[in-house]
Amino acid sequence: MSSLIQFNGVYKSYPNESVGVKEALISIFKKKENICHKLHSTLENITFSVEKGQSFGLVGHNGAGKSTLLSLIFGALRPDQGGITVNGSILPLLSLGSGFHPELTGKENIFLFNSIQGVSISETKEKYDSICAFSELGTDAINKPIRTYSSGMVARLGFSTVTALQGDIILIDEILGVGDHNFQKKCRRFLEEFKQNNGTLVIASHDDNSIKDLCDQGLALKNGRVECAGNIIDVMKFYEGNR
Amino acid sequence: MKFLANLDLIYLLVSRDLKVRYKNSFFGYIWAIANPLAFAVIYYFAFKVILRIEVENYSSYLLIGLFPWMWVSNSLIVTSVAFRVNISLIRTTKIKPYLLVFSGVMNEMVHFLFAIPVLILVLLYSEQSLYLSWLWQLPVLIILQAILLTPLGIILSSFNIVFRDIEYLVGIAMTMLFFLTPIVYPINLVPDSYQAIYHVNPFVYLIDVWHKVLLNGYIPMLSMAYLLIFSFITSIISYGLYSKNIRKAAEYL
Repeated sequence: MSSLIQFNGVYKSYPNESVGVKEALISIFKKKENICHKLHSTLENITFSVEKGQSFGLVGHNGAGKSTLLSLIFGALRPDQGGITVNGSILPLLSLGSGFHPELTGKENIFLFNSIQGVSISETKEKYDSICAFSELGTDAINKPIRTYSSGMVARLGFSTVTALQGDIILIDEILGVGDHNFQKKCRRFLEEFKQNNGTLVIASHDDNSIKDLCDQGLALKNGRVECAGNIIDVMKFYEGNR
Repeated sequence: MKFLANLDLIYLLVSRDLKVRYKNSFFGYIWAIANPLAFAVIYYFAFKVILRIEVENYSSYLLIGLFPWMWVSNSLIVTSVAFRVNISLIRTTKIKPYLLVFSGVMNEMVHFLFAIPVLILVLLYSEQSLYLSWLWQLPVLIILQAILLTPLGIILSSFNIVFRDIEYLVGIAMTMLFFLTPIVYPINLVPDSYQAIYHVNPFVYLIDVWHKVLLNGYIPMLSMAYLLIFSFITSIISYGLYSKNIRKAAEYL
């Protein structure tokens, strides 16, 4: 049976420094291995799979490699070694509010952000009302530039905009702590519904509760290696016991 | 459907940049053309009044070269950093990065369009003839220039992923190319021994086309052909370079 997301022995490392003309000139004279020594590895030998309808939690401390793993699933990064297959369309929720411009109104930002994600203006028009309703921002605020918003309001707008998008797999990177308590609940409810409709979630977080509530499977990362994988309750027990 | 969604994004990005740039200013339109006009006044003073360059209707000649040049220069400066400044979008959203370059070129094109009425006013004022053929010639030229600039922008921004120095070099290169293109002086002042090497610069042909169309009402076919061939070659190079480098963007930038 084919999984929705499959990682087979994936390795990923970053170049330590960005490359300028100087480094390029030096590299002409030096052999290639010398540059490779500068690599700093972030993920080593990652193997796991996520089935359709599952929600999968990635836990680990800052710098453990959670975000890199999500970027690999999303396809923004490519592995150095190993194979990754993803059979489904991805809805990335990797950072709220990237693509928003402070001078544009909430409404303008909704259209711009959706367009960045590949949704046409006419489609956004159809979904606009439901996005506004989800955000609970009110017509007054939605027509003001978002530089006047509080950070909580920006987060509301960001999450609401995403609720109108389509995808088989939602990737979430540490964004469930946004907004006030009520709004967080609402976001959870949205994700629960998504799950019930046979959607797949992959959540990276160090917020234990959201992972425990939403996920059923997961893995714990430490320094780029899988420390523990399987049922989320076991993974969380291991993670909590080891910090 | 996908194509329309891409057009929508270009439209939204261009209107965002226009809004952001001019939203808070009452004289939005004036600011859009103030920059090239200020340069025009300075160059007029330096080259006509002080150096006494002999060109008929120098003010028309100068503006006809200067406005398209501003589009060239600003586009290449803006697009060379298009991937770097939008790296979080490239990393976390489904945006197609090349659209960022295209929207940069389109944004500068809108500024050029803003300047066209000023250009026509100056031509009228200096009693130059206006041609009916401009109705089709101007759109052709504008499309040609967009076709010329987009692959160049993609080449520069793709290179800038791997060699970050490119964005600094572009600014210097644009200043040099400005004086290596017949904008403030006519091309016949270039000494014969330099003519061959001088004509390597594609912008020589571009500015030539603008001069011929706006001063004489015809499109010089040889220059046009050169530009099309140049654009074709750069398109191929930009495609190769882009597909090779863009996957490195998320980790290099």
